[in-house]
Amino acid sequence: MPRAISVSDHASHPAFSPKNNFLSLNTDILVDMIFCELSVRDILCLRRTCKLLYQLSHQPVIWKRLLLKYPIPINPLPPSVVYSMSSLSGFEAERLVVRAMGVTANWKSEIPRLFKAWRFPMWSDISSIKLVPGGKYALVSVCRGYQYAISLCILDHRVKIAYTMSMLGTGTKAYNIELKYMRYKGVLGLTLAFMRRRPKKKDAHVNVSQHDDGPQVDFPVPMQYDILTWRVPYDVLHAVPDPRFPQEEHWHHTHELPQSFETISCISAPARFDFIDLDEIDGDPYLVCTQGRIVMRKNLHTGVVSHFTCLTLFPFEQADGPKPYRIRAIRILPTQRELLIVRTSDRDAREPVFLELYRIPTDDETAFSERASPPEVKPRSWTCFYEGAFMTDVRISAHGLPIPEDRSGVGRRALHVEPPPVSVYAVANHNAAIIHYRLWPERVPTADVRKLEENAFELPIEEDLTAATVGSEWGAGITEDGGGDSATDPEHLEPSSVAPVQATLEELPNAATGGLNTPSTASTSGSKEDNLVPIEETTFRFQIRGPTFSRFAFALKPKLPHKVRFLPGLSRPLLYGTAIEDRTISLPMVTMYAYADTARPPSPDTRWPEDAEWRAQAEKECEWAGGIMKPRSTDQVIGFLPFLNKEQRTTFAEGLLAIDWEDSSGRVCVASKQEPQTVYILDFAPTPTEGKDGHRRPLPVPDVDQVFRRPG
Amino acid sequence: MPTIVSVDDSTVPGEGSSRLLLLVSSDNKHIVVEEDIMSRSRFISKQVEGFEATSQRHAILLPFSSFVLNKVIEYCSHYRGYYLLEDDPDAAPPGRSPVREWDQEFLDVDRNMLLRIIKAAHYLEIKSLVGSCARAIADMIRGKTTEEMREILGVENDFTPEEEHSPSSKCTG
Repeated sequence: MPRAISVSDHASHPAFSPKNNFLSLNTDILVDMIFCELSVRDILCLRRTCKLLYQLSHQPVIWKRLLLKYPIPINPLPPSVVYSMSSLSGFEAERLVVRAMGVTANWKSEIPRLFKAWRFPMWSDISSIKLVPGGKYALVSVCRGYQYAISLCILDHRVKIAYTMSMLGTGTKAYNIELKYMRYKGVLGLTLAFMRRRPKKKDAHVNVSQHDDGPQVDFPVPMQYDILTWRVPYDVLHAVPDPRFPQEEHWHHTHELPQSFETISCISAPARFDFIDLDEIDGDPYLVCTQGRIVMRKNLHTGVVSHFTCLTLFPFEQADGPKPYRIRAIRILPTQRELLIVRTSDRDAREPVFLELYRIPTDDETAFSERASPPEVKPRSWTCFYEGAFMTDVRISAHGLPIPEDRSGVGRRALHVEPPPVSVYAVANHNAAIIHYRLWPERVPTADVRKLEENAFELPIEEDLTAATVGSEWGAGITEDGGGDSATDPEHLEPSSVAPVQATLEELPNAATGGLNTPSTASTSGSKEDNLVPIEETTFRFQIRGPTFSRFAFALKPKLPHKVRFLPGLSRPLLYGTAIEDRTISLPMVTMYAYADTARPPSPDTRWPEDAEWRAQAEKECEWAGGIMKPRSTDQVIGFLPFLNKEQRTTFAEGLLAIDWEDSSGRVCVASKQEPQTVYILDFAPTPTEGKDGHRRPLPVPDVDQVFRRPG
Repeated sequence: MPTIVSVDDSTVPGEGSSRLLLLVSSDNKHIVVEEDIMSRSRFISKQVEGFEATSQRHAILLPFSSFVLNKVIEYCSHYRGYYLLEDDPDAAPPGRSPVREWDQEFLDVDRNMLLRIIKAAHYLEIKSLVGSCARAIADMIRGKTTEEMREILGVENDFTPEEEHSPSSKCTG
C-alpha cells in the first residue's frame, strides 16, 4: 500500500508562507548562512533595519566566526580559559572586532576622532600608569601621603565600569613599570616588574620618591635601587571582578583567593637601573635590565642571573677612554632569543646610531658571574646609521608575537598570523625629524629560527666603519632632497612648509652593517624540505639587516613647537607633545598626534601562501572603513588627534603626571597635576558598551555611517 | 489536490542507469527525474531509503511550484556526479561558501525567485545551493545603507521612534 502523504503536511512550512520576504527565512539560514557572509559594517547596518534582525545579529556564532578569520590584528585578551572561544560571549567577540576595525580606521583617517572621554577616581595621587595589553586592566603607581603602592584597576567592568581591584604597598615610589602575560612555575599570570629606589640607611630622612624618575637627580645620601617582579595569578584577575556575586558573597569569595600580588624576584644594586623588559623564552620567564652598558638577565624560574657588557664601539669609543655611547632602548625578541639594543652617542651628532642584536645566554652558558666587570660580548648582528642628529627620544615597539599558551579566543586565531613589525622610533634634532626603523617579521620554520647562531662570528668593525664614514653623507635620508653636503648642518633640517611632510628614503643610503654572514635569502631559496614545513611549525624572527629591514625618516615641517615623545604601543604609536620648558617634573601636555605607518610590508614568503591571503583580506576590510572615515594621504604620516574640550584642556595645562597608550584597544590613560587623583581615559576606538545585565547597549545601535563619519 | 501516484518499478529503464523518481509540485505538475540527479538532496535521499525499506516507490510531493522545482533540478543536473564539500555532512566547513561562477549566473534572478529557491533548497536539504543563495542575498545587501537594505529585503522598520532616537543611541557603539 502506498504511503499517504498529504499536502497539508507542508502547509506550515515557510515555503508556503504567504509573506515571501526576507524575514520568513529560517533562522538557521539567516544566522548561519547570510550573516556569516557579511562584513562587520554590513552586519551593523543590517541590525538597524528591524527588531528581529537586531536580535539575530547578536548571535555569538556570527561574531565568533568573524573574530576567527578577521584579518586585522585584534587586541589580546587575558590568555586564559575564561576567555576561550567557547566561553566568550557574543558581545565580547563583537567588541573585539569592532574595536580592532575602529582603531585601525581612526588612526589612518584624515581627522582622527575621539570617541569617548571619561574618568574615574583613584583616591590617591597618581605617579605613573601602565595599561595591560588589551586595555582591560591598568596598573597605577599611586601615593597617599608617604605611602606608596601599585594598584590594579579594571577598566571595562560591567557594573562598576572602572575601579581598583587590589593594591599593594611598594615602600617607595614605583616607576618604569613593565608587564607581560607570562607563565611562572607552570601557572599563567600577569607578571610585572618595576623600579624603586630608597636610601641605603633607613634613618636618612629623605623622601626620595618626590624626585623625578630620570637619571639627573643627585641624591645627598647613598641610594639603593631595586627591581621588583610581581605576579598576579589569573584566578585573582578573573574572580575578583566577577559581577555575578552579590556584595556579601563576593566578600567571602575574594577572601578565599590567593593573594593578588606575589613577589617572585627582587634585584638590588647601588647604581641606577635604566631599562627593564620581561618576556618568556623557551618556556622560562626572563627579566632583562640594563645598568649603564651592562646588561643583566635573570631567569625568574631558576633564579640564575648573568651579566654581560655591550661591546666597546671602536673607533667611537676607546677601550680605556671615554665611552659616549648610551643604551637608549631595549626589547627582548623571544623566538630568536635575542635582545635588541639601540645605542646612541651623547657626544657628537655625527656619530652613528647603533642597532644591535645580542644573544641572551641560557642558564648553562652563564659561567661568568663577575658582577663588577662582566665580560664584553659581541653582538650577533649590528647595523649603524649616520643620521647626523641627536636623538631626543628613542622607543621600541612591543613585538606582536603570540603569547605562549594563549587559551583565549584571540589566541586561537593569532597563532599563525603575521605580527606587525618591531619598530624603533626616534625623535631627532629637537623635534625636527622622526626616524623609524622597521624590523619586519620573517617567517621561518621553528627549527631554523636560531640557525644563524651556528655560524662563526666575524666583526670587521674597524675597517667597516671607517669605510662607511668616508662614503656616507651626513644626515642623508632626513631631508627631502636626500641629503648631500648641505645637510651636514643640523640647522638645515629647519622646516619651511606647513604640514608635516614625509620625505621617504626606503633604501639605506647611510648604513653600515655587520654580523653573521648568513643571508636570509639562503633559507628563502631553501631546499625542497623547507617547502614541506606546514604553517603550524613556523615562527617569526626579526632582523636588523637584509630585505626584512627598512628605514624611514621624515622632517617635521614646521618643526613642532613642543617636546615630542613616542608612546610606541604595538603598531600604532601615539606622539604627544609637552611644553619645551624642562624645569618642572611634570610638563604641561599640549597636543597628541596619531602616527600611522603606511608602508607596505616586504612581499610575503611564497612557501606559505596564507600570509598573502590574510594581507589581501585585511586590505579589503580596511577599504570600507576607509570609505567612511577618509584616510589621510599617504604622505601624511602624522595626524592631529582631537584632545579634550577647552575645560579639560586647561586641566592638563598645569602639568602631566602620567600617560600610557594601548594601541590595540585605542585607549589612552592620563593623569594631570591639577587633578592628581583622577584617571582620564580617552577611547580612540568605537566601543560598544554592555549594560549591567550583560546586554548590549544602546538599543538599537546608531548608524555606523554616522558613527564613523567625522563630526561636523 | 494531487493524487498519490505509485511508480511502478517497471518504469526503470534498465540495469546500469539510474532509476527514476516522480516529483509532484504544489501546482500539481508531475516531473520525472533520475534518482542520481536528486541524490544531492538529503531529503530525497531519505525518502528513497524509506522506499527501499518498504519496497514501495511512490511520488514525492513537494510544497513549491514547478517553476522553482525545475530551477532546483537544473542546479542538481548541472552538478550531477560532482562532489561538493558543503554537501558532505561530515566534512562541511562552517562559514562562507565558495564562489562558483556558474552559481552566480544561475542565481541571477529577482528577489522573490531567489527567496523561493533558497526555501526550496532548505526544504530539500541541499546545503550547497542554500549556501550559494545566501551568498547571493548577501551580495545584494553588501555595502548598502540601512534604508536601502530595508527596501531590498522587504523589511519594515518596527523600531519605535523613541528607540531609534534614544539619547543612548547617540553614543558610540
